[in-house]
Amino acid sequence: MLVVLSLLVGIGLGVGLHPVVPPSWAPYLPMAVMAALDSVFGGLRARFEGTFNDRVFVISFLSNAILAALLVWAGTRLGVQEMEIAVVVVFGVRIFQNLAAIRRILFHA
Amino acid sequence: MTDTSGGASGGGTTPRSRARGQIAIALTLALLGFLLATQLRSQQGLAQRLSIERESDLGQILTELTTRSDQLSSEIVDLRVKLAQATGTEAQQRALITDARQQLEALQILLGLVPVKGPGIEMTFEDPKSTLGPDVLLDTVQELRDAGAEAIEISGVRIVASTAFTGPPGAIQVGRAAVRAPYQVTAIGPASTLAEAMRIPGGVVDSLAANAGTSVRVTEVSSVSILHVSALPVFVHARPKTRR
Repeated sequence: MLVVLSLLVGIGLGVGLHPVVPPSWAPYLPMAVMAALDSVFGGLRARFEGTFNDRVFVISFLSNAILAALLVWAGTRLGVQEMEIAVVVVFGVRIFQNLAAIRRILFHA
Repeated sequence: MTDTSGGASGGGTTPRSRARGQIAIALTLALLGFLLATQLRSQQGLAQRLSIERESDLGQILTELTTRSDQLSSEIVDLRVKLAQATGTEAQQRALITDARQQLEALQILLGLVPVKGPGIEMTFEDPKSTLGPDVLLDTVQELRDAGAEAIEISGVRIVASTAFTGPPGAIQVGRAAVRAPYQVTAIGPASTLAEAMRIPGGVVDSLAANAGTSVRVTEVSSVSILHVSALPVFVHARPKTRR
Protein backbone atom coordinates (compact mmCIF):
# COMPACT_ATOMS: atom_id res chain seq x y z
CA MET A 1 0.00 0.00 0.00
CA LEU A 2 2.74 2.37 1.04
CA VAL A 3 4.76 1.26 -1.95
CA VAL A 4 2.03 2.02 -4.44
CA LEU A 5 1.21 5.28 -2.72
CA SER A 6 4.78 6.56 -2.73
CA LEU A 7 5.21 5.49 -6.33
CA LEU A 8 2.11 7.47 -7.24
CA VAL A 9 3.38 10.44 -5.26
CA GLY A 10 6.65 10.31 -7.16
CA ILE A 11 4.88 10.11 -10.51
CA GLY A 12 2.61 12.93 -9.45
CA LEU A 13 5.61 15.04 -8.56
CA GLY A 14 7.30 14.25 -11.85
CA VAL A 15 4.20 15.15 -13.82
CA GLY A 16 3.22 18.12 -11.72
CA LEU A 17 6.59 19.81 -11.40
CA HIS A 18 7.45 19.59 -15.10
CA PRO A 19 11.11 18.93 -14.43
CA VAL A 20 13.21 19.89 -17.39
CA VAL A 21 15.99 17.47 -18.20
CA PRO A 22 19.13 19.40 -19.10
CA PRO A 23 20.30 18.32 -22.55
CA SER A 24 23.64 17.27 -21.14
CA TRP A 25 21.85 14.86 -18.82
CA ALA A 26 19.61 13.43 -21.49
CA PRO A 27 21.70 10.30 -22.24
CA TYR A 28 22.17 9.40 -18.58
CA LEU A 29 18.69 9.65 -17.11
CA PRO A 30 17.32 6.65 -19.05
CA MET A 31 20.21 4.56 -17.80
CA ALA A 32 19.49 5.57 -14.23
CA VAL A 33 15.84 4.70 -14.76
CA MET A 34 16.76 1.29 -16.15
CA ALA A 35 18.97 0.58 -13.15
CA ALA A 36 16.28 1.78 -10.78
CA LEU A 37 13.68 -0.43 -12.43
CA ASP A 38 16.04 -3.37 -12.13
CA SER A 39 16.48 -2.67 -8.44
CA VAL A 40 12.74 -2.41 -7.91
CA PHE A 41 12.01 -5.70 -9.64
CA GLY A 42 14.92 -7.27 -7.76
CA GLY A 43 13.45 -6.01 -4.53
CA LEU A 44 10.04 -7.32 -5.48
CA ARG A 45 11.51 -10.72 -6.24
CA ALA A 46 13.43 -10.72 -2.94
CA ARG A 47 10.24 -9.89 -1.16
CA PHE A 48 8.47 -12.83 -2.70
CA GLU A 49 11.43 -15.04 -1.90
CA GLY A 50 11.43 -13.74 1.68
CA THR A 51 14.90 -12.30 1.44
CA PHE A 52 13.95 -8.64 1.16
CA ASN A 53 16.10 -6.19 3.07
CA ASP A 54 15.14 -2.55 2.91
CA ARG A 55 18.72 -1.33 3.40
CA VAL A 56 20.03 -3.43 0.62
CA PHE A 57 17.11 -2.35 -1.54
CA VAL A 58 17.66 1.36 -1.01
CA ILE A 59 21.42 1.18 -1.43
CA SER A 60 21.23 -1.01 -4.52
CA PHE A 61 18.59 1.25 -6.00
CA LEU A 62 20.65 4.39 -5.58
CA SER A 63 24.03 2.84 -6.40
CA ASN A 64 22.73 1.05 -9.47
CA ALA A 65 21.12 4.19 -10.82
CA ILE A 66 24.14 6.37 -10.17
CA LEU A 67 26.61 3.78 -11.41
CA ALA A 68 24.67 3.16 -14.57
CA ALA A 69 24.62 6.85 -15.35
CA LEU A 70 28.29 7.18 -14.47
CA LEU A 71 29.18 4.20 -16.63
CA VAL A 72 27.52 5.72 -19.67
CA TRP A 73 29.12 9.05 -18.93
CA ALA A 74 32.53 7.44 -18.64
CA GLY A 75 31.90 5.54 -21.87
CA THR A 76 31.09 8.73 -23.67
CA ARG A 77 34.24 10.27 -22.28
CA LEU A 78 36.30 7.29 -23.39
CA GLY A 79 34.84 7.40 -26.86
CA VAL A 80 32.69 4.29 -26.37
CA GLN A 81 29.53 5.77 -27.72
CA GLU A 82 27.44 2.62 -27.36
CA MET A 83 27.90 2.21 -23.64
CA GLU A 84 24.16 2.64 -23.28
CA ILE A 85 23.66 -0.62 -25.09
CA ALA A 86 25.73 -2.47 -22.52
CA VAL A 87 23.73 -0.94 -19.70
CA VAL A 88 20.45 -1.60 -21.45
CA VAL A 89 21.36 -5.19 -22.17
CA VAL A 90 22.59 -5.88 -18.66
CA PHE A 91 19.67 -4.31 -16.90
CA GLY A 92 17.21 -5.58 -19.46
CA VAL A 93 18.36 -9.15 -18.91
CA ARG A 94 18.25 -8.71 -15.18
CA ILE A 95 14.80 -7.21 -15.28
CA PHE A 96 13.59 -10.10 -17.39
CA GLN A 97 15.13 -12.61 -15.03
CA ASN A 98 13.66 -10.92 -12.00
CA LEU A 99 10.28 -10.81 -13.67
CA ALA A 100 10.61 -14.45 -14.59
CA ALA A 101 11.46 -15.34 -11.00
CA ILE A 102 8.46 -13.34 -9.76
CA ARG A 103 6.26 -15.08 -12.28
CA ARG A 104 7.49 -18.47 -11.17
CA ILE A 105 6.81 -17.64 -7.55
CA LEU A 106 3.39 -16.16 -8.20
CA PHE A 107 2.07 -18.64 -10.70
CA HIS A 108 4.36 -21.56 -9.93
CA ALA A 109 5.07 -21.78 -13.59
CA MET B 1 23.09 -12.20 -12.97
CA THR B 2 20.61 -13.96 -10.88
CA ASP B 3 21.41 -12.16 -7.68
CA THR B 4 18.61 -10.01 -6.49
CA SER B 5 19.01 -6.48 -5.35
CA GLY B 6 17.08 -7.09 -2.19
CA GLY B 7 19.66 -9.54 -0.97
CA ALA B 8 19.86 -11.36 2.31
CA SER B 9 17.34 -10.97 5.03
CA GLY B 10 18.47 -9.42 8.28
CA GLY B 11 17.84 -5.88 9.47
CA GLY B 12 14.44 -4.37 10.12
CA THR B 13 13.38 -6.66 12.93
CA THR B 14 12.61 -3.95 15.49
CA PRO B 15 9.57 -1.73 14.87
CA ARG B 16 11.74 1.41 14.72
CA SER B 17 14.08 0.13 12.09
CA ARG B 18 11.11 -1.34 10.29
CA ALA B 19 9.49 2.08 10.11
CA ARG B 20 12.74 3.61 8.97
CA GLY B 21 13.02 0.97 6.28
CA GLN B 22 9.48 1.69 5.16
CA ILE B 23 10.26 5.37 4.87
CA ALA B 24 13.42 4.62 2.93
CA ILE B 25 11.54 2.36 0.57
CA ALA B 26 8.81 4.93 0.17
CA LEU B 27 11.32 7.63 -0.63
CA THR B 28 13.14 5.38 -3.06
CA LEU B 29 9.96 4.46 -4.85
CA ALA B 30 8.90 8.08 -4.96
CA LEU B 31 12.23 8.83 -6.57
CA LEU B 32 11.60 6.04 -9.05
CA GLY B 33 8.23 7.46 -9.89
CA PHE B 34 9.72 10.87 -10.29
CA LEU B 35 12.49 9.60 -12.56
CA LEU B 36 10.03 7.55 -14.60
CA ALA B 37 7.68 10.46 -15.07
CA THR B 38 10.53 12.78 -15.99
CA GLN B 39 12.02 10.35 -18.44
CA LEU B 40 8.70 9.51 -20.05
CA ARG B 41 7.90 13.15 -20.39
CA SER B 42 11.22 13.97 -22.01
CA GLN B 43 10.88 10.98 -24.29
CA GLN B 44 7.47 12.16 -25.31
CA GLY B 45 8.96 15.44 -26.49
CA LEU B 46 11.67 13.52 -28.28
CA ALA B 47 9.12 11.26 -29.92
CA GLN B 48 7.25 14.24 -31.24
CA ARG B 49 10.43 15.61 -32.66
CA LEU B 50 11.29 12.25 -34.22
CA SER B 51 7.87 11.94 -35.81
CA ILE B 52 8.47 15.07 -37.86
CA GLU B 53 12.01 14.10 -38.67
CA ARG B 54 10.92 12.55 -41.94
CA GLU B 55 9.69 15.82 -43.21
CA SER B 56 12.68 17.54 -41.72
CA ASP B 57 14.24 18.11 -45.11
CA LEU B 58 11.13 19.76 -46.43
CA GLY B 59 10.72 21.62 -43.21
CA GLN B 60 14.27 22.84 -43.32
CA ILE B 61 13.91 24.00 -46.88
CA LEU B 62 10.70 25.76 -45.97
CA THR B 63 12.36 27.40 -43.00
CA GLU B 64 15.30 28.52 -45.07
CA LEU B 65 13.07 29.91 -47.77
CA THR B 66 10.94 31.69 -45.23
CA THR B 67 14.01 33.15 -43.59
CA ARG B 68 15.42 34.26 -46.93
CA SER B 69 12.08 35.75 -47.89
CA ASP B 70 11.94 37.64 -44.62
CA GLN B 71 15.47 38.90 -45.15
CA LEU B 72 14.66 40.07 -48.65
CA SER B 73 11.48 41.74 -47.49
CA SER B 74 13.31 43.66 -44.82
CA GLU B 75 15.98 44.52 -47.36
CA ILE B 76 13.31 45.91 -49.68
CA VAL B 77 11.93 48.02 -46.87
CA ASP B 78 15.41 49.24 -45.99
CA LEU B 79 16.21 50.16 -49.55
CA ARG B 80 12.86 51.89 -49.98
CA VAL B 81 13.55 53.96 -46.90
CA LYS B 82 17.02 54.80 -48.15
CA LEU B 83 15.66 55.71 -51.57
CA ALA B 84 13.03 57.94 -50.04
CA GLN B 85 15.64 59.57 -47.85
CA ALA B 86 17.99 60.09 -50.78
CA THR B 87 15.22 61.51 -52.98
CA GLY B 88 14.07 63.77 -50.21
CA THR B 89 17.59 64.93 -49.55
CA GLU B 90 18.24 65.51 -53.20
CA ALA B 91 15.06 67.54 -53.62
CA GLN B 92 15.88 69.51 -50.51
CA GLN B 93 19.39 70.13 -51.72
CA ARG B 94 18.15 71.18 -55.12
CA ALA B 95 15.72 73.59 -53.52
CA LEU B 96 18.46 74.92 -51.30
CA ILE B 97 20.76 75.36 -54.27
CA THR B 98 18.05 77.13 -56.23
CA ASP B 99 17.40 79.40 -53.28
CA ALA B 100 21.06 80.07 -52.80
CA ARG B 101 21.53 80.78 -56.49
CA GLN B 102 18.63 83.22 -56.53
CA GLN B 103 19.96 84.91 -53.43
CA LEU B 104 23.41 85.09 -54.93
CA GLU B 105 22.05 86.62 -58.12
CA ALA B 106 20.04 89.21 -56.24
CA LEU B 107 22.96 90.11 -54.04
CA GLN B 108 25.31 90.28 -57.00
CA ILE B 109 23.01 92.72 -58.77
CA LEU B 110 22.41 94.66 -55.59
CA LEU B 111 26.11 94.95 -54.88
CA GLY B 112 26.87 95.66 -58.52
CA LEU B 113 29.20 92.73 -58.85
CA VAL B 114 27.97 91.61 -62.25
CA PRO B 115 27.16 93.42 -65.47
CA VAL B 116 23.43 93.70 -65.97
CA LYS B 117 21.18 94.20 -68.89
CA GLY B 118 17.54 95.08 -69.30
CA PRO B 119 14.99 97.74 -70.13
CA GLY B 120 15.49 101.14 -68.61
CA ILE B 121 16.24 104.77 -69.26
CA GLU B 122 19.23 106.85 -70.20
CA MET B 123 19.71 110.49 -69.30
CA THR B 124 22.43 113.01 -69.77
CA PHE B 125 22.75 115.91 -67.36
CA GLU B 126 24.51 118.89 -68.86
CA ASP B 127 26.10 121.25 -66.39
CA PRO B 128 27.36 124.23 -68.33
CA LYS B 129 27.67 126.51 -65.30
CA SER B 130 29.05 123.91 -62.88
CA THR B 131 26.17 124.50 -60.53
CA LEU B 132 25.04 120.95 -60.28
CA GLY B 133 25.84 119.55 -56.87
CA PRO B 134 26.06 116.00 -55.58
CA ASP B 135 22.65 116.40 -53.96
CA VAL B 136 21.06 116.49 -57.39
CA LEU B 137 22.63 113.22 -58.34
CA LEU B 138 21.63 111.73 -55.00
CA ASP B 139 18.06 112.93 -55.48
CA THR B 140 18.06 111.43 -58.93
CA VAL B 141 19.21 108.09 -57.57
CA GLN B 142 16.56 108.23 -54.84
CA GLU B 143 13.83 109.00 -57.36
CA LEU B 144 15.00 106.24 -59.65
CA ARG B 145 15.07 103.74 -56.82
CA ASP B 146 11.65 104.85 -55.69
CA ALA B 147 10.37 104.25 -59.18
CA GLY B 148 11.77 100.73 -59.15
CA ALA B 149 15.22 101.01 -60.64
CA GLU B 150 17.18 97.85 -60.08
CA ALA B 151 20.59 98.96 -61.26
CA ILE B 152 21.96 102.47 -61.72
CA GLU B 153 25.14 103.80 -63.22
CA ILE B 154 26.35 107.39 -63.30
CA SER B 155 29.17 108.25 -65.67
CA GLY B 156 30.68 104.82 -65.49
CA VAL B 157 30.23 104.36 -61.74
CA ARG B 158 27.93 101.63 -60.58
CA ILE B 159 25.66 102.95 -57.87
CA VAL B 160 25.38 100.51 -55.01
CA ALA B 161 24.28 100.65 -51.40
CA SER B 162 27.56 102.12 -50.18
CA THR B 163 27.98 104.69 -52.91
CA ALA B 164 28.26 108.23 -51.53
CA PHE B 165 27.88 111.48 -53.44
CA THR B 166 30.38 114.08 -52.28
CA GLY B 167 32.34 117.06 -53.46
CA PRO B 168 31.42 120.56 -54.60
CA PRO B 169 29.55 121.28 -57.80
CA GLY B 170 31.82 120.73 -60.74
CA ALA B 171 34.05 118.31 -58.86
CA ILE B 172 31.57 115.71 -57.77
CA GLN B 173 32.79 112.40 -56.50
CA VAL B 174 30.59 109.37 -56.87
CA GLY B 175 31.92 106.78 -54.54
CA ARG B 176 35.68 107.21 -54.83
CA ALA B 177 35.59 108.31 -58.46
CA ALA B 178 35.53 111.89 -59.68
CA VAL B 179 32.97 112.46 -62.36
CA ARG B 180 32.73 115.32 -64.75
CA ALA B 181 29.79 116.81 -66.60
CA PRO B 182 27.96 115.79 -68.62
CA TYR B 183 26.73 113.17 -66.28
CA GLN B 184 25.54 110.03 -67.93
CA VAL B 185 22.82 108.34 -65.92
CA THR B 186 21.70 104.85 -66.84
CA ALA B 187 19.05 102.98 -64.90
CA ILE B 188 17.60 99.53 -65.44
CA GLY B 189 14.02 99.00 -64.34
CA PRO B 190 10.48 99.56 -65.59
CA ALA B 191 11.38 102.08 -68.32
CA SER B 192 8.17 104.05 -68.57
CA THR B 193 7.76 104.27 -64.80
CA LEU B 194 11.31 105.49 -64.46
CA ALA B 195 10.88 108.06 -67.21
CA GLU B 196 7.66 109.28 -65.69
CA ALA B 197 9.30 109.58 -62.28
CA MET B 198 11.97 111.77 -63.86
CA ARG B 199 9.47 113.99 -65.66
CA ILE B 200 7.08 114.36 -62.78
CA PRO B 201 6.37 118.03 -62.00
CA GLY B 202 8.86 119.19 -59.41
CA GLY B 203 10.95 116.11 -60.14
CA VAL B 204 14.48 115.67 -61.39
CA VAL B 205 13.95 117.15 -64.82
CA ASP B 206 12.14 120.17 -63.43
CA SER B 207 14.65 120.88 -60.71
CA LEU B 208 17.56 120.51 -63.12
CA ALA B 209 15.91 122.97 -65.45
CA ALA B 210 15.36 125.34 -62.59
CA ASN B 211 18.75 125.05 -60.87
CA ALA B 212 21.26 124.21 -63.54
CA GLY B 213 19.36 125.70 -66.40
CA THR B 214 19.81 122.59 -68.42
CA SER B 215 17.24 120.56 -70.17
CA VAL B 216 17.40 116.84 -69.71
CA ARG B 217 16.34 114.36 -72.24
CA VAL B 218 15.07 111.13 -70.85
CA THR B 219 15.35 108.24 -73.27
CA GLU B 220 13.47 105.05 -72.69
CA VAL B 221 15.34 102.04 -74.03
CA SER B 222 14.14 98.48 -74.35
CA SER B 223 17.54 97.13 -73.57
CA VAL B 224 20.42 98.85 -71.91
CA SER B 225 23.57 97.39 -70.46
CA ILE B 226 25.35 98.41 -67.34
CA LEU B 227 28.74 96.88 -67.75
CA HIS B 228 30.66 98.55 -64.98
CA VAL B 229 30.92 96.53 -61.85
CA SER B 230 31.62 97.51 -58.32
CA ALA B 231 34.23 95.80 -56.21
CA LEU B 232 33.04 93.33 -53.63
CA PRO B 233 32.86 95.33 -50.41
CA VAL B 234 34.96 94.07 -47.58
CA PHE B 235 33.24 94.51 -44.30
CA VAL B 236 35.63 95.19 -41.47
CA HIS B 237 33.36 96.24 -38.64
CA ALA B 238 29.97 94.85 -39.40
CA ARG B 239 29.62 91.17 -38.63
CA PRO B 240 26.49 89.10 -39.05
CA LYS B 241 24.88 88.58 -35.69
CA THR B 242 24.25 84.87 -35.55
CA ARG B 243 21.07 83.95 -33.84
CA ARG B 244 22.50 81.13 -31.77
